[in-house]
Amino acid sequence: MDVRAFARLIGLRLTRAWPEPEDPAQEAAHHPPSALLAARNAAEVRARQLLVRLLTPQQREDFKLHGYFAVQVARRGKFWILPSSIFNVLNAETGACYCAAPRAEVPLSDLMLAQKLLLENDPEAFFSVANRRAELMPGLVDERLSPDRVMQARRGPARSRIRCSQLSMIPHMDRPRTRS
Amino acid sequence: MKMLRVLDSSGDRVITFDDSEATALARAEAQAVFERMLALGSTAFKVNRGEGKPDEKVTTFSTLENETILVPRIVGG
Repeated sequence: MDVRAFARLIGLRLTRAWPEPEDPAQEAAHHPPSALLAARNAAEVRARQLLVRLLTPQQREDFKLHGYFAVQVARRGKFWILPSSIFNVLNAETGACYCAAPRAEVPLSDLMLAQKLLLENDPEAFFSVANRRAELMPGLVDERLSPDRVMQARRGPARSRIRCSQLSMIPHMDRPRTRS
Repeated sequence: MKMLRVLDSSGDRVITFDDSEATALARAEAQAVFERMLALGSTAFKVNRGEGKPDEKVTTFSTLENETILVPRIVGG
């Protein structure tokens, strides 16, 4: 196979893996207009004001300093609520992260407020639906530092997952067959 | 005045009412929203209760206090 044919095949494979959005609505969803962004920002500001008002003095101090705060859950211990929309409830003792969020779309600060209220007043409602994954090895990180470690790890370079079928760009046709 | 805050994409939607005739419409709306959302799996909490009282889960409209937060139904993420 010549170089041009090989390049065409690679291009074809890339187009299949990352197709161009043809639908304008789909395109708009990827690149929301500025009015929508402004509305989202306004909602986040409003939600943040409500959250800050309803935190305890200690939680407010933690939130202003670090962006996260701790809640004490009856019979389960201390949990950190991190400023992230997925797996953002961290068990300070075990290092496990939990994920449960309102079904309706809400700003991040509303999500954190909802989780605080549920964990402090109705924890079973939270844990009965939350998904769980281990994020830190218990005992390996100082308890006070663990929220920072989780946030740091999440800010690091993304490790993308690739399917085996995406690994090879070498076309299967024209590959010499081995005869047994 | 009592305040019912429903968390939504705009931050929250507020319905203010009390026991007077003047706010009867708002009260009826608040009660309808409260009962409909609880029936759909939402959870309500009394907050900002004063005198150092802790927040508390609430399930009946008649026991609402100054401020109530309605959290939409939560699901595992």
